[in-house]
Amino acid sequence: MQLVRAAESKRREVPTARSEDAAPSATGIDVRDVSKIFALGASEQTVALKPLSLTIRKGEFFSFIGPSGCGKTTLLRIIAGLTTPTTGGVFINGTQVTGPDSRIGMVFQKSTLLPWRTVLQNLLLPVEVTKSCSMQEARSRADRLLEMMGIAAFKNRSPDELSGGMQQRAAIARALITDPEILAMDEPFSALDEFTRERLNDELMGLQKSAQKTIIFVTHNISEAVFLSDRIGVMAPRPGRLDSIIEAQGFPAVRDASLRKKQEFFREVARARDAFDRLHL
Amino acid sequence: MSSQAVRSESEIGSVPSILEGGRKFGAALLALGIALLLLAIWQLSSQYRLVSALILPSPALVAGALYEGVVGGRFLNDILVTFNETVLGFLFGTVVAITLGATFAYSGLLRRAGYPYVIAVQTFPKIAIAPLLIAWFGYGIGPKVIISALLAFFPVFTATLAGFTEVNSDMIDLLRSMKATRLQELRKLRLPFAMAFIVPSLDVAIVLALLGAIAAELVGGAAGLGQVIQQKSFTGDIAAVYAVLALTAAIGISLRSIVRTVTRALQSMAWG
Repeated sequence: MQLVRAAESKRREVPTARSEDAAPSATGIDVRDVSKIFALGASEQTVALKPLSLTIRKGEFFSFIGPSGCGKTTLLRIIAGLTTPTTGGVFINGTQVTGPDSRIGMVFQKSTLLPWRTVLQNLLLPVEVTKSCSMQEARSRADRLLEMMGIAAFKNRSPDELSGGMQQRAAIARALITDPEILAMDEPFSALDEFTRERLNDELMGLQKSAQKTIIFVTHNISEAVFLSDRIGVMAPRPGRLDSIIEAQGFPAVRDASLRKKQEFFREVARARDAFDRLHL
Repeated sequence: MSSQAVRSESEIGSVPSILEGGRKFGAALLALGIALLLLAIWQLSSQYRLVSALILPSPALVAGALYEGVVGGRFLNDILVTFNETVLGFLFGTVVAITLGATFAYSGLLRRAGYPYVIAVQTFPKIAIAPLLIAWFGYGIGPKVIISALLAFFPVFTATLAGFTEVNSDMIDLLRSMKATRLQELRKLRLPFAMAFIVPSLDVAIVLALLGAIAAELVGGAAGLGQVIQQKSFTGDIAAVYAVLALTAAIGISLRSIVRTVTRALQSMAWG
C-alpha cells in the first residue's frame, strides 16, 4: 500500500480528478477515488486499479479502453455494483452504489442467454426477477425491443439457433427490458467478426440517440471506441490505472457508418493511438 | 435495422425438409435391410448346419421359445422381478446421487473430504460384491436392487456435481446484476443449469440399472431374467437363452425411452 501511494504521488493528476470535498453530481455517474486491490495471499497483493476519479455525464457514451490487465472490466464491475471497491465509491445521481443497482443494465462479452429459455423468455427474465412491471407490460416491451433490435422473427427460437450477433442483440434487448438509465457493456462485441461488430456499433449509436441512455462501454478496440464514444478513458496496465481522457472532437451530431470513412474519424483514431504510444506499453 | 441483414445472418441449418425426410427414410430402409440380412444368414447357417444348434439355434426355435415364454407366461414373473429391481435400483441410485451430488456441490469441505471415497467406490468393480450381498441378504431382490442402484448412481452423481459447480460465472453475474435473491438464483439459473447435465445422465443410469440387476441375478437369484439365463444355459436350452437376451434388450430400450420421454417432458414443463 505504501509503495502504491509513493508511486501515485509522483504521477501527474488525471485531468478529470475532482477534489475530495466536492458534492457528488446530482445527475450522472460520479466515480470517486475508486481503487481495487486484490489480495493474492497473506502478504501478496495486486493493484487492479489505482485510485481514480471521474464523472460520466447523463446521456453520455463513455468508453474505457486499454490492454488486458488495465482494470477496465474491474472498473465497470465496480460501477455496476458487482465488485466492491477497496477505497472510494460510485455515486449515481448523487446516491452511492452499494450493490447491484436496478438503474444499470448489464451486457457481457458472452451473451449469457439461458439456453433452456427461448429468446422471448430470456428477455422477460429480468422482469421475472425484479418484478419491475407487470408481465403483460413486459411482453409488449419485449415485442418492441425485439422489433427494434431486428430479431422479432426469432422470439420463439432457442438462443443456440441464433448467430453470435443475434445473440448479442438479444442480450442488449434483455438489458433494456427494465428500462435502466445506464447500460454497462463489457466488451459486448469482442467475440464478433468485424462486419457484424460494425453493424452492431451502428445500431448501438441509433439506440443511444433514440433511447437516451448513458452507456459505459469497455473495449480493447480503438476504432470501435472512437466511433462510439463521446469520451474515452485511456487505461494502462501494471498497475491498472486511468491515464487520460480523450474527448471526441469534430464529429457530427449524428454518427452513422459513413463516419468511418471520414477524415475526422481517422484523425480521432490517430489521437487515441497517440495516447497509447505515450504509455510505452 | 434492415430485414435483409437479419435474413443473411439467419441462414443456418436450413436443409430442405423433404431432403431431410428422404435421408431419414433411406437410413431406416438400410437398417431394416441389415436386420433382414443378419436374419437370413442366421436362418441359412442353422438350416445347413454350419453352426451347431447348441451354439446358435434357428430363428424359428428362438421365436418359439420367446412366444412360449411371453405369451405362454413362463417368463412373465421373471420379467416383472427384473423390471422391479431395475426401476427400484434406478430410483434409489438417482435419488441418492442427486442428493449427494448437490450436497457435495454446495459444501467444499464435504466435497474434498468425501471425494476420495466416491472415487474409490467408482473405480471398484461393483458387481464383484454381489456374492457377498447375497450371502448377507439372501436370494431376494434386495442385493439386486443394491447392485443396480450402485451402477445407476455414478453417472448421475458426477452429472449433478458438474451441473451445480460448473455454472457459468457470467450468468451468475447477470442474475446478481438483477438483484436476484438466492432462491431466485437457484430457481432461475442453478437448477435448470444442473438439470441440463442431470437429464441426459438418467438415460445412462437406467441402462446401467438394468445391467446391475441382470448381473446380480446371474450370481444368484430365485427369480429374474438373469436367473433364467443361468438356468436355461445350464440345462442346454440355448433357444430360451437367446429369447431372454432379446427380452432384456427390449426392456432396456423401452425403459430408456420412457425415462427420456418423461424427463424431457418434466424439464420443458419446469423451465419452459
